[in-house]
Amino acid sequence: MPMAVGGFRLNPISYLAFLAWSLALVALLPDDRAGLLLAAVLGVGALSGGRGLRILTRGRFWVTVASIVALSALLLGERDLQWGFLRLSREGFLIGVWMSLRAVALMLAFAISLGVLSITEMVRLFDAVNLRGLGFALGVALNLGPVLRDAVEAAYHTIRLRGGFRRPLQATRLFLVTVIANALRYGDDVVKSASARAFDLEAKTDVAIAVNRADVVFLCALAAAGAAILILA
Amino acid sequence: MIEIESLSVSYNSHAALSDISLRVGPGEFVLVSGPSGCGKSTLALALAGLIPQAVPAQLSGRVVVDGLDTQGAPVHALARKVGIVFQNPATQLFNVTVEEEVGFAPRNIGLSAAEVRERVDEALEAVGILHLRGRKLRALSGGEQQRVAIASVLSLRPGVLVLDEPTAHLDWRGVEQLLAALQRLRREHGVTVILIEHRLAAVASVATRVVLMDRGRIVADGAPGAILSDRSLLAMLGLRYPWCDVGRRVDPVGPAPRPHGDEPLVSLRGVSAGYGKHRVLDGLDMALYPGQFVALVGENGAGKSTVARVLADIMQAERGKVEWHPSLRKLPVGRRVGLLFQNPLNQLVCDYVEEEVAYGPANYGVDADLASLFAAADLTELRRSRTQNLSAGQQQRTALAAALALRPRLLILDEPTMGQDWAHLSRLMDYLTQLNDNGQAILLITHDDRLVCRYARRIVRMAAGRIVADGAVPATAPVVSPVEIAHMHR
Repeated sequence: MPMAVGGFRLNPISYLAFLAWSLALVALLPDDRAGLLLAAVLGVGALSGGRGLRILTRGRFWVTVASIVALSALLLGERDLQWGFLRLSREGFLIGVWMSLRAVALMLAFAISLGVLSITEMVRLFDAVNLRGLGFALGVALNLGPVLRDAVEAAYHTIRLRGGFRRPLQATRLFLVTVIANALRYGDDVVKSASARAFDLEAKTDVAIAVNRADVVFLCALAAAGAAILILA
Repeated sequence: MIEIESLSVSYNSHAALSDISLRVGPGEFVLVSGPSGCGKSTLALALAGLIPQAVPAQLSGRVVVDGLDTQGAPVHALARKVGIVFQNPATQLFNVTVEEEVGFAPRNIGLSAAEVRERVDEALEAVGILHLRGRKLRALSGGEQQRVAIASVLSLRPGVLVLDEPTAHLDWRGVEQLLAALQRLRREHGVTVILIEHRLAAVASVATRVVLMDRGRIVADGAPGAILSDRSLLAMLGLRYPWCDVGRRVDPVGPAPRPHGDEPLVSLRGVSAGYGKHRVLDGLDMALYPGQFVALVGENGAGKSTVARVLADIMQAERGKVEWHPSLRKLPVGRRVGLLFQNPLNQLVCDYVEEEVAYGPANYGVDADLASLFAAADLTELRRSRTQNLSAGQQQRTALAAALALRPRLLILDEPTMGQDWAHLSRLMDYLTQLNDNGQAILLITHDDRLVCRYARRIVRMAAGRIVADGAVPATAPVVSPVEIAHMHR
C-alpha cells in the first residue's frame, strides 16, 4: 500500500526524492548521526505500509550487517580487545557499527522506494524529463530479478554437478560469462517484447510530472528533516 | 489479412526462410508446424516486423499485415495490427501486476487513463482472466502468465495474433485454458490466429488450417483433416501423428517392476521442502529403484521440479530424509545425479558443444564415449558449433549429452520436450531406453502423456506436494476421443 498523506496517495516523484534524499544523507552525515537517518527511513517505511521493511525479517540481511561489523572489528584499527582467542579493535568495531547503520538505511530506502514504484510509473516519470529509456531499463532490471536468479542458480548448480568447482578459477570464469550472457539475452528478449507492444524509445510524450498536496507536504517534511539532521542535531 | 510474397530471411548468410508465399484471411486459425530449426519462429518475427527491425537479419520479399508493410512501418505501429506472444512468459512480463502489464501497451500509444482501463478490462475479459486484474505476475501459474502475455498484446486490439509455442511450459489444464481463450478470440472478436506448435494433438482440433514447414519452406498447406492425416508426410518431417495420441491422463495399473532388485537407489522419506514460507513438498515418500524408468507427472505447481532439486542436492529438505544406497553415498553428487533443467540455455556454460559435453568428464577424470553420445543426440555435425547459436531443441540435446557424459546413477529430465520435434525427441528417448535397458535409472518429469506411455515403466502422479498415484504404466493407453477426431474431419 503506497503512502498517503492527508488522504492523497504519493506520486512516484516523492519516492524518488526520498531515495535521493537518503543517498545524499548517507554520503554527507557525520557518523554519530547515522542513527537519526535510520530512524527517519524507518518512519517513512512504516508510513508507506511496511512492505519495504520486510527485508528486516530476512536472515541474510542480518548476516550481511553482522559481517560488516565483525570484519571491521577484525581488520580495521588497533587491536586492543581480547575476545576468546580473537583480538579485536574497539575503533574498528565502532567504524563497523556506523558503516552498517548507513548500509541499513540505504538498503531500506531502496526497498521502500522500489517496492512502491512500478515500471509504468518510472517510465512516465523519466518520460517527463526526457529520459524515456532510463525508466524502462531501471524497471525491467528490477522486475527481471526472479528470472535472473533462476538463471544464476541453474548455471551455478550445472557447474557444481559437473564437478566444475574442482577447478575454481575456470568455474568462476564460466559462471560469470554464462550469467552475463544470459542476462543480456533476457534483456534483449524483453526489449523485443516491449517493441512488439508499441514501446518506442524515440516517441515524444506529453507527460507532466504529477505532484499533489501530499507530495508537497512530504517533500517539505523531507527537506526539513534533512536540514535538521545535518545542521541542527 | 496477411500477405507474404517471396519472403526469404537469412542470418549471417544462413538461410532461415526461402521464398515463402502465404495468404491468410481474417478470422482464420492457422497451425504452423515443422521440425526444430525449420524457420517457424523466424516467420513469426517477420510477421511482427521484428525482423529486420529489431532482430538483425537479411530479408527479401514482402510481408503485409492488414495493409501495413512490415519492413516500412515501425514496429510500434505494427503492434496495433499484429500481436506476438513468445514461448517463455517470464521474459515477456516485466511489470509487477497484471493490470500494469496489460496496460503497458495502451499507455505506449498515448491513451488516456480511462481508455487504458477500458482496454485492460476488455483484454482480460477476452482471455477469461478479469479476476486476476490486481494480482502480482510472479504469483500466477504458467497458464495464467501465458494468458496475461496474450492479454498484454490484445490490449492494442490487433487483428492478428501470432503465438510461438505458447504451450511449451503448460500442463494439459493450461493448454485447454489457452486454446479455449484463443477460440473465443477468433469467434467473438474475429482475431486471426497464427499458432506455432509441435504439440499437434493438443491444437489440431481447433485449427482451421495447417501449414507445415521444412528447411525454411512451406511443404504443405491445407485443411487439418487432409494434412494431419498424411502419416508419411508427418513422419518425413518428424512430427507426431496426432490422431492416435494418448488421452489427457495416464493412470498407473498395478505395482511397477523393479528390474534390478528391491534395494532402492534413493529414498525420500517424509520429505517436506519449499521456498521461503511456501511449502511445495509435504511429507513426500518415494523410492526409486536401480534400472527403473519412472515418469513423474502432475499439474503445474504440483512439486515435480522440487523433487528433482531435492534429489540433486540443490534444495535441502526442511523435514524428512533423502537416503542414497550405501554404495553411492561417497560418490560426489554430480556422479550420482544428472539433472537436465527446464531451460537448457541456463545450463550451457562452455563456448562450444564439444567442450560442453567433455567438461564434466574432464573435471571428474571419467572416461566417456563422447562419439556415441554425440551420435545419439544428433550432435556430431554440431560438435564445433557455438552453444549460444543453437536452436532450443539443439541446446536441450547438448545439455542432456553433457549430463549423460558423467554416467550418473540417476538421470533426471525436467520437461525434455521443450522445443523438440518428435523425430529428435523419440531418437533421444530411444537412446535413453537403451541406457535404461543396461541399468540406468531415469526419472522423467513431463506433461507429455504420450512420452510416458511409450517410454516409462512406472508412473508417479503428484498433486499438491504429495504422491497421489504410483504404479506401472498401462500396456495399452487410452487414445484421443473420437469426438475430437470427428470435429477435426468436419
